[in-house]
Amino acid sequence: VAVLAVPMYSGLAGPTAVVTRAVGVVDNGRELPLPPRIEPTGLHLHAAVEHARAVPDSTARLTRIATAMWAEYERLRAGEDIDDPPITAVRIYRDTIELATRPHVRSVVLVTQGPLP
Amino acid sequence: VTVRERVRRFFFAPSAPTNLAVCRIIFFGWLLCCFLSYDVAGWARLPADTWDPVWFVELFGPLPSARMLAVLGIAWKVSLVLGALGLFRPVTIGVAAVLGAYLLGLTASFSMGNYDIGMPVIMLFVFWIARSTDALSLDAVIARHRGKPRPSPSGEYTWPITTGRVLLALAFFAAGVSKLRHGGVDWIVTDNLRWLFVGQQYTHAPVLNWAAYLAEFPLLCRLLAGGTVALELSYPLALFVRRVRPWLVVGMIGLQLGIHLFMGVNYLAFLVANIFWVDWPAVGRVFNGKLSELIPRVATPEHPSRHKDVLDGSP
Repeated sequence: VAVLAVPMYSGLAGPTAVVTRAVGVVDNGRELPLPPRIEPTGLHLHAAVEHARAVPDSTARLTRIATAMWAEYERLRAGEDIDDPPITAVRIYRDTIELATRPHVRSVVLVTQGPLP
Repeated sequence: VTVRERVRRFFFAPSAPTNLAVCRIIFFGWLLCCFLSYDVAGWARLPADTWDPVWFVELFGPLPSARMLAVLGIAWKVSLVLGALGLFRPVTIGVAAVLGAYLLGLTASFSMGNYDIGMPVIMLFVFWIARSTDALSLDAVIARHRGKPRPSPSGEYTWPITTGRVLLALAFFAAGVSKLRHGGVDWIVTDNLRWLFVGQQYTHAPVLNWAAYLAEFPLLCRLLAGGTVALELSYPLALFVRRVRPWLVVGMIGLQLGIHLFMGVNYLAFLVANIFWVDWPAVGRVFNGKLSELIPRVATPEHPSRHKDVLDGSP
Protein backbone atom coordinates (compact mmCIF):
# COMPACT_ATOMS: atom_id res chain seq x y z
CA VAL A 1 0.00 0.00 0.00
CA ALA A 2 2.87 2.35 0.85
CA VAL A 3 4.42 1.76 -2.57
CA LEU A 4 1.14 2.46 -4.34
CA ALA A 5 0.76 5.69 -2.36
CA VAL A 6 3.78 7.18 -4.19
CA PRO A 7 2.25 9.45 -6.87
CA MET A 8 4.70 8.67 -9.75
CA TYR A 9 3.00 11.20 -12.05
CA SER A 10 -0.23 9.31 -11.53
CA GLY A 11 -2.46 12.38 -11.21
CA LEU A 12 -3.98 14.12 -14.20
CA ALA A 13 -2.09 17.09 -15.61
CA GLY A 14 -4.14 20.04 -16.78
CA PRO A 15 -3.39 22.93 -19.15
CA THR A 16 -1.48 24.90 -16.50
CA ALA A 17 2.02 24.69 -15.10
CA VAL A 18 3.15 26.24 -11.84
CA VAL A 19 6.68 27.47 -11.25
CA THR A 20 8.07 28.87 -8.01
CA ARG A 21 11.05 31.22 -8.13
CA ALA A 22 13.00 33.34 -5.67
CA VAL A 23 14.52 36.75 -6.38
CA GLY A 24 16.67 39.14 -4.39
CA VAL A 25 15.54 42.73 -3.86
CA VAL A 26 18.28 45.37 -4.13
CA ASP A 27 18.14 48.85 -2.57
CA ASN A 28 16.26 50.58 -5.38
CA GLY A 29 13.56 47.92 -5.39
CA ARG A 30 14.94 46.17 -8.45
CA GLU A 31 14.72 42.37 -8.42
CA LEU A 32 17.61 40.10 -9.37
CA PRO A 33 17.61 36.33 -9.84
CA LEU A 34 19.40 34.62 -6.96
CA PRO A 35 22.60 32.70 -7.74
CA PRO A 36 22.00 28.94 -7.98
CA ARG A 37 24.05 28.41 -4.80
CA ILE A 38 21.18 29.90 -2.79
CA GLU A 39 19.07 26.83 -2.29
CA PRO A 40 16.45 25.52 -2.58
CA THR A 41 16.08 26.34 -6.26
CA GLY A 42 13.84 25.25 -9.12
CA LEU A 43 11.68 22.23 -8.51
CA HIS A 44 13.00 21.85 -4.96
CA LEU A 45 11.97 25.41 -4.10
CA HIS A 46 8.55 24.72 -5.59
CA ALA A 47 8.16 21.53 -3.52
CA ALA A 48 9.36 23.25 -0.33
CA VAL A 49 6.95 26.15 -0.79
CA GLU A 50 4.02 23.87 -1.64
CA HIS A 51 4.83 21.82 1.45
CA ALA A 52 5.00 24.94 3.63
CA ARG A 53 1.72 26.27 2.20
CA ALA A 54 -0.01 23.09 3.33
CA VAL A 55 0.81 23.40 7.04
CA PRO A 56 -1.16 25.45 9.60
CA ASP A 57 1.54 28.08 10.25
CA SER A 58 2.25 28.52 6.55
CA THR A 59 2.62 32.32 6.54
CA ALA A 60 5.28 32.35 9.25
CA ARG A 61 7.03 29.32 7.83
CA LEU A 62 7.23 30.79 4.30
CA THR A 63 8.64 34.02 5.71
CA ARG A 64 11.27 32.05 7.62
CA ILE A 65 12.27 30.20 4.45
CA ALA A 66 12.71 33.48 2.54
CA THR A 67 14.62 34.98 5.47
CA ALA A 68 16.93 31.96 5.65
CA MET A 69 17.66 32.29 1.92
CA TRP A 70 18.42 35.99 2.40
CA ALA A 71 20.74 35.18 5.31
CA GLU A 72 22.56 32.53 3.27
CA TYR A 73 22.99 35.02 0.41
CA GLU A 74 24.45 37.62 2.72
CA ARG A 75 26.70 35.04 4.38
CA LEU A 76 28.14 34.02 1.01
CA ARG A 77 28.49 37.67 -0.03
CA ALA A 78 30.28 38.58 3.20
CA GLY A 79 32.65 35.67 2.65
CA GLU A 80 33.18 36.85 -0.94
CA ASP A 81 31.98 33.48 -2.21
CA ILE A 82 29.60 35.35 -4.52
CA ASP A 83 30.19 38.65 -6.26
CA ASP A 84 26.62 39.98 -6.24
CA PRO A 85 25.15 43.23 -4.84
CA PRO A 86 23.68 43.38 -1.32
CA ILE A 87 19.97 42.62 -1.12
CA THR A 88 17.39 43.80 1.38
CA ALA A 89 15.07 40.82 1.05
CA VAL A 90 14.22 37.65 -0.82
CA ARG A 91 10.84 37.44 -2.52
CA ILE A 92 9.29 34.15 -3.56
CA TYR A 93 6.85 34.21 -6.48
CA ARG A 94 4.45 31.60 -7.79
CA ASP A 95 3.98 31.80 -11.55
CA THR A 96 0.98 30.09 -13.14
CA ILE A 97 1.39 29.48 -16.86
CA GLU A 98 -1.60 28.83 -19.09
CA LEU A 99 -0.47 26.20 -21.59
CA ALA A 100 -3.58 26.18 -23.80
CA THR A 101 -3.07 29.75 -25.02
CA ARG A 102 -0.68 30.89 -27.77
CA PRO A 103 1.58 32.35 -26.57
CA HIS A 104 1.38 30.90 -23.07
CA VAL A 105 0.11 33.44 -20.54
CA ARG A 106 1.89 33.84 -17.19
CA SER A 107 0.25 35.22 -14.04
CA VAL A 108 2.44 36.03 -11.05
CA VAL A 109 1.58 35.96 -7.34
CA LEU A 110 3.90 37.04 -4.52
CA VAL A 111 3.96 34.17 -2.02
CA THR A 112 6.20 35.66 0.64
CA GLN A 113 9.04 38.01 1.41
CA GLY A 114 11.74 37.79 4.02
CA PRO A 115 13.06 39.32 6.12
CA LEU A 116 9.98 41.45 6.69
CA PRO A 117 10.55 45.24 6.44
CA VAL B 1 5.85 -29.46 -8.28
CA THR B 2 4.57 -27.64 -5.21
CA VAL B 3 4.34 -23.86 -4.99
CA ARG B 4 7.00 -23.89 -2.29
CA GLU B 5 9.35 -25.80 -4.56
CA ARG B 6 8.70 -23.36 -7.42
CA VAL B 7 9.48 -20.42 -5.16
CA ARG B 8 12.63 -22.16 -3.92
CA ARG B 9 13.81 -22.75 -7.49
CA PHE B 10 12.92 -19.19 -8.47
CA PHE B 11 15.05 -17.64 -5.72
CA PHE B 12 17.59 -20.32 -4.87
CA ALA B 13 18.45 -22.33 -7.99
CA PRO B 14 22.22 -22.86 -7.81
CA SER B 15 24.36 -20.52 -9.88
CA ALA B 16 28.03 -19.57 -10.04
CA PRO B 17 29.24 -16.55 -8.01
CA THR B 18 30.51 -14.70 -11.08
CA ASN B 19 27.24 -13.12 -12.19
CA LEU B 20 26.55 -11.63 -8.76
CA ALA B 21 30.16 -10.44 -8.53
CA VAL B 22 29.95 -8.60 -11.86
CA CYS B 23 26.66 -7.07 -10.77
CA ARG B 24 28.35 -5.87 -7.58
CA ILE B 25 31.21 -4.23 -9.47
CA ILE B 26 28.89 -2.48 -11.94
CA PHE B 27 26.38 -1.48 -9.25
CA PHE B 28 28.94 0.12 -6.94
CA GLY B 29 30.82 1.70 -9.84
CA TRP B 30 27.60 3.12 -11.27
CA LEU B 31 26.51 4.56 -7.92
CA LEU B 32 29.92 6.12 -7.46
CA CYS B 33 29.71 7.77 -10.90
CA CYS B 34 26.16 8.99 -10.22
CA PHE B 35 26.99 10.49 -6.81
CA LEU B 36 30.67 11.43 -7.10
CA SER B 37 29.75 15.12 -7.23
CA TYR B 38 26.98 14.78 -4.61
CA ASP B 39 27.50 17.72 -2.21
CA VAL B 40 26.28 16.12 1.00
CA ALA B 41 27.23 19.13 3.14
CA GLY B 42 24.89 21.30 1.06
CA TRP B 43 21.90 20.02 3.02
CA ALA B 44 23.08 21.89 6.10
CA ARG B 45 22.80 25.19 4.21
CA LEU B 46 19.11 24.77 3.42
CA PRO B 47 16.45 26.66 5.39
CA ALA B 48 15.59 24.66 8.50
CA ASP B 49 11.88 24.91 7.70
CA THR B 50 12.30 22.69 4.64
CA TRP B 51 13.48 19.76 6.83
CA ASP B 52 10.94 16.94 6.58
CA PRO B 53 12.86 13.68 7.04
CA VAL B 54 11.74 10.31 5.73
CA TRP B 55 11.37 7.75 8.53
CA PHE B 56 14.75 6.06 8.24
CA VAL B 57 16.55 9.42 8.17
CA GLU B 58 14.56 10.50 11.20
CA LEU B 59 15.95 7.48 13.08
CA PHE B 60 19.38 9.17 13.05
CA GLY B 61 18.08 12.29 14.81
CA PRO B 62 18.63 15.95 13.88
CA LEU B 63 20.60 16.95 10.79
CA PRO B 64 24.36 16.96 11.55
CA SER B 65 26.64 19.92 10.84
CA ALA B 66 27.95 20.61 7.34
CA ARG B 67 31.40 19.41 8.38
CA MET B 68 30.04 16.11 9.69
CA LEU B 69 27.92 15.63 6.56
CA ALA B 70 30.99 16.21 4.40
CA VAL B 71 32.92 13.55 6.35
CA LEU B 72 30.01 11.11 6.00
CA GLY B 73 29.87 11.83 2.27
CA ILE B 74 33.56 11.04 1.81
CA ALA B 75 33.25 7.88 3.92
CA TRP B 76 30.32 6.71 1.79
CA LYS B 77 32.13 7.30 -1.49
CA VAL B 78 35.20 5.43 -0.20
CA SER B 79 32.96 2.57 0.90
CA LEU B 80 31.49 2.42 -2.62
CA VAL B 81 35.01 2.06 -4.06
CA LEU B 82 35.84 -0.69 -1.55
CA GLY B 83 32.50 -2.33 -2.30
CA ALA B 84 33.32 -2.45 -6.00
CA LEU B 85 36.74 -3.90 -5.18
CA GLY B 86 35.09 -6.36 -2.80
CA LEU B 87 37.28 -5.83 0.25
CA PHE B 88 36.05 -6.78 3.76
CA ARG B 89 32.40 -7.00 2.69
CA PRO B 90 30.80 -7.19 6.14
CA VAL B 91 32.36 -3.85 7.05
CA THR B 92 32.72 -1.87 3.83
CA ILE B 93 29.44 -2.80 2.15
CA GLY B 94 27.71 -2.48 5.50
CA VAL B 95 28.99 1.08 5.75
CA ALA B 96 27.97 1.70 2.13
CA ALA B 97 24.45 0.43 2.87
CA VAL B 98 23.82 2.27 6.13
CA LEU B 99 25.43 5.53 5.03
CA GLY B 100 23.78 5.18 1.62
CA ALA B 101 20.37 4.84 3.23
CA TYR B 102 21.01 7.98 5.26
CA LEU B 103 22.72 10.15 2.66
CA LEU B 104 20.42 9.17 -0.20
CA GLY B 105 17.50 9.45 2.19
CA LEU B 106 18.48 13.06 2.76
CA THR B 107 17.62 13.77 -0.89
CA ALA B 108 14.01 12.96 0.01
CA SER B 109 14.02 14.69 3.40
CA PHE B 110 13.68 18.34 2.45
CA SER B 111 10.04 18.65 1.39
CA MET B 112 10.61 16.78 -1.86
CA GLY B 113 10.38 13.10 -2.81
CA ASN B 114 12.97 11.24 -4.84
CA TYR B 115 11.87 8.20 -6.84
CA ASP B 116 15.44 7.47 -7.87
CA ILE B 117 16.87 6.26 -4.55
CA GLY B 118 14.64 3.47 -3.21
CA MET B 119 15.95 0.70 -5.43
CA PRO B 120 19.68 1.55 -4.97
CA VAL B 121 19.30 1.74 -1.18
CA ILE B 122 17.54 -1.63 -0.93
CA MET B 123 20.10 -3.26 -3.22
CA LEU B 124 22.98 -1.90 -1.14
CA PHE B 125 21.59 -3.89 1.80
CA VAL B 126 21.10 -6.94 -0.43
CA PHE B 127 24.76 -6.79 -1.52
CA TRP B 128 25.75 -6.47 2.13
CA ILE B 129 23.79 -9.52 3.28
CA ALA B 130 24.53 -11.67 0.21
CA ARG B 131 27.84 -13.42 -0.47
CA SER B 132 28.58 -10.86 -3.14
CA THR B 133 32.37 -10.86 -2.81
CA ASP B 134 33.01 -14.60 -3.26
CA ALA B 135 34.37 -13.95 -6.77
CA LEU B 136 36.10 -11.13 -8.67
CA SER B 137 37.05 -9.40 -5.42
CA LEU B 138 39.93 -8.79 -3.08
CA ASP B 139 38.08 -10.89 -0.50
CA ALA B 140 38.25 -13.80 -2.98
CA VAL B 141 41.97 -13.24 -3.58
CA ILE B 142 42.60 -13.26 0.18
CA ALA B 143 40.52 -16.44 0.54
CA ARG B 144 42.57 -18.21 -2.18
CA HIS B 145 45.78 -17.16 -0.44
CA ARG B 146 44.47 -18.72 2.75
CA GLY B 147 43.87 -21.95 0.88
CA LYS B 148 40.08 -21.83 0.83
CA PRO B 149 38.51 -23.70 -2.12
CA ARG B 150 36.79 -21.84 -4.94
CA PRO B 151 33.07 -21.45 -4.19
CA SER B 152 30.80 -23.89 -5.96
CA PRO B 153 27.44 -22.92 -7.51
CA SER B 154 24.85 -22.10 -4.87
CA GLY B 155 21.47 -20.50 -4.38
CA GLU B 156 23.30 -17.90 -2.30
CA TYR B 157 24.40 -16.31 -5.58
CA THR B 158 20.96 -16.43 -7.16
CA TRP B 159 18.57 -14.86 -4.66
CA PRO B 160 20.16 -11.38 -4.69
CA ILE B 161 19.78 -11.18 -8.46
CA THR B 162 16.23 -12.50 -8.37
CA THR B 163 15.44 -10.03 -5.60
CA GLY B 164 16.67 -7.16 -7.79
CA ARG B 165 14.43 -8.33 -10.63
CA VAL B 166 11.40 -8.71 -8.40
CA LEU B 167 11.92 -5.22 -6.95
CA LEU B 168 12.12 -3.77 -10.45
CA ALA B 169 8.95 -5.58 -11.48
CA LEU B 170 7.10 -4.39 -8.36
CA ALA B 171 8.25 -0.79 -8.82
CA PHE B 172 7.09 -0.56 -12.43
CA PHE B 173 3.89 -2.48 -11.82
CA ALA B 174 3.09 -0.15 -8.90
CA ALA B 175 3.69 2.84 -11.18
CA GLY B 176 1.18 1.47 -13.70
CA VAL B 177 -1.42 0.64 -11.03
CA SER B 178 -0.94 4.08 -9.44
CA LYS B 179 -1.72 5.80 -12.75
CA LEU B 180 -4.94 3.86 -13.18
CA ARG B 181 -5.86 4.25 -9.52
CA HIS B 182 -5.36 8.02 -9.33
CA GLY B 183 -5.81 9.15 -12.92
CA GLY B 184 -7.99 6.32 -14.21
CA VAL B 185 -8.44 5.72 -17.93
CA ASP B 186 -8.32 9.51 -18.33
CA TRP B 187 -4.56 9.25 -17.78
CA ILE B 188 -4.47 7.70 -21.26
CA VAL B 189 -7.45 8.99 -23.24
CA THR B 190 -7.30 12.70 -22.34
CA ASP B 191 -4.65 15.33 -23.07
CA ASN B 192 -2.97 14.53 -19.73
CA LEU B 193 0.40 13.50 -21.21
CA ARG B 194 0.26 16.34 -23.70
CA TRP B 195 0.00 18.93 -20.92
CA LEU B 196 2.62 17.07 -18.93
CA PHE B 197 5.00 17.29 -21.91
CA VAL B 198 4.51 21.06 -22.24
CA GLY B 199 4.43 21.78 -18.51
CA GLN B 200 7.70 19.94 -17.88
CA GLN B 201 9.46 22.44 -20.14
CA TYR B 202 8.70 25.08 -17.48
CA THR B 203 8.99 23.07 -14.28
CA HIS B 204 11.98 20.87 -15.12
CA ALA B 205 15.11 21.20 -17.21
CA PRO B 206 14.94 18.42 -19.83
CA VAL B 207 18.10 17.65 -21.78
CA LEU B 208 16.08 17.87 -25.03
CA ASN B 209 12.95 19.93 -25.67
CA TRP B 210 11.43 17.38 -28.06
CA ALA B 211 8.46 16.74 -25.75
CA ALA B 212 7.17 20.21 -26.60
CA TYR B 213 7.02 19.15 -30.27
CA LEU B 214 5.45 15.78 -29.43
CA ALA B 215 2.70 17.71 -27.63
CA GLU B 216 1.61 19.09 -31.01
CA PHE B 217 0.23 15.62 -31.80
CA PRO B 218 -2.49 14.78 -29.24
CA LEU B 219 -3.23 11.33 -30.65
CA LEU B 220 0.45 10.40 -30.49
CA CYS B 221 0.53 11.56 -26.86
CA ARG B 222 -2.42 9.29 -26.03
CA LEU B 223 -0.73 6.36 -27.74
CA LEU B 224 2.43 7.02 -25.75
CA ALA B 225 0.40 7.24 -22.52
CA GLY B 226 -1.33 3.93 -23.29
CA GLY B 227 1.98 2.32 -24.20
CA THR B 228 3.54 3.52 -20.96
CA VAL B 229 0.80 2.07 -18.77
CA ALA B 230 0.74 -1.18 -20.77
CA LEU B 231 4.51 -1.54 -20.43
CA GLU B 232 4.44 -0.86 -16.70
CA LEU B 233 1.58 -3.28 -16.01
CA SER B 234 3.07 -6.05 -18.13
CA TYR B 235 6.62 -5.67 -16.78
CA PRO B 236 6.25 -8.47 -14.15
CA LEU B 237 5.87 -10.90 -17.08
CA ALA B 238 9.62 -10.44 -17.58
CA LEU B 239 10.12 -12.49 -14.41
CA PHE B 240 8.45 -15.57 -15.83
CA VAL B 241 8.15 -15.38 -19.63
CA ARG B 242 11.58 -15.47 -21.24
CA ARG B 243 10.26 -14.78 -24.72
CA VAL B 244 8.98 -11.30 -23.81
CA ARG B 245 11.75 -10.46 -21.34
CA PRO B 246 14.11 -8.66 -23.76
CA TRP B 247 11.27 -6.54 -25.15
CA LEU B 248 9.97 -5.49 -21.74
CA VAL B 249 13.39 -4.79 -20.25
CA VAL B 250 14.78 -2.89 -23.22
CA GLY B 251 11.45 -1.09 -23.66
CA MET B 252 11.47 0.06 -20.04
CA ILE B 253 15.09 1.19 -20.23
CA GLY B 254 14.12 3.21 -23.30
CA LEU B 255 11.14 4.66 -21.46
CA GLN B 256 13.26 5.69 -18.47
CA LEU B 257 15.91 7.24 -20.71
CA GLY B 258 13.15 9.02 -22.65
CA ILE B 259 11.66 10.42 -19.45
CA HIS B 260 15.12 11.59 -18.41
CA LEU B 261 15.98 13.21 -21.74
CA PHE B 262 12.60 14.69 -22.68
CA MET B 263 10.97 15.40 -19.31
CA GLY B 264 13.95 16.10 -17.09
CA VAL B 265 13.16 13.47 -14.46
CA ASN B 266 16.34 11.77 -13.28
CA TYR B 267 16.24 7.98 -13.11
CA LEU B 268 19.95 7.42 -13.67
CA ALA B 269 20.65 5.74 -10.31
CA PHE B 270 17.53 3.57 -10.67
CA LEU B 271 18.63 2.42 -14.14
CA VAL B 272 21.51 0.42 -12.70
CA ALA B 273 19.06 -2.20 -11.42
CA ASN B 274 18.67 -3.42 -15.01
CA ILE B 275 22.06 -5.15 -14.63
CA PHE B 276 20.24 -7.96 -12.84
CA TRP B 277 18.62 -9.02 -16.11
CA VAL B 278 21.92 -9.63 -17.84
CA ASP B 279 23.85 -12.90 -17.83
CA TRP B 280 27.26 -11.32 -17.46
CA PRO B 281 29.31 -14.49 -17.95
CA ALA B 282 27.54 -14.85 -21.32
CA VAL B 283 28.46 -11.26 -22.16
CA GLY B 284 32.02 -12.08 -21.14
CA ARG B 285 32.03 -15.06 -23.46
CA VAL B 286 30.90 -12.84 -26.31
CA PHE B 287 33.64 -10.32 -25.62
CA ASN B 288 36.20 -13.08 -25.21
CA GLY B 289 35.72 -13.98 -28.84
CA LYS B 290 33.69 -17.09 -28.14
CA LEU B 291 30.72 -15.86 -30.17
CA SER B 292 31.04 -18.92 -32.31
CA GLU B 293 30.08 -21.09 -29.35
CA LEU B 294 26.82 -19.20 -28.92
CA ILE B 295 25.73 -18.85 -32.53
CA PRO B 296 25.03 -22.56 -33.16
CA ARG B 297 22.74 -22.50 -30.11
CA VAL B 298 20.53 -19.81 -31.61
CA ALA B 299 18.44 -22.24 -33.59
CA THR B 300 17.98 -24.86 -30.88
CA PRO B 301 14.66 -25.11 -29.05
CA GLU B 302 16.40 -24.62 -25.71
CA HIS B 303 17.99 -21.38 -26.89
CA PRO B 304 15.55 -19.68 -29.27
CA SER B 305 17.57 -16.50 -29.57
CA ARG B 306 20.99 -15.12 -28.79
CA HIS B 307 19.31 -12.34 -26.81
CA LYS B 308 18.04 -14.97 -24.42
CA ASP B 309 21.59 -15.98 -23.58
CA VAL B 310 22.70 -12.47 -22.74
CA LEU B 311 19.57 -10.82 -21.39
CA ASP B 312 18.57 -13.61 -19.13
CA GLY B 313 20.71 -14.86 -16.31
CA SER B 314 18.14 -17.36 -15.11
CA PRO B 315 19.66 -20.66 -14.13
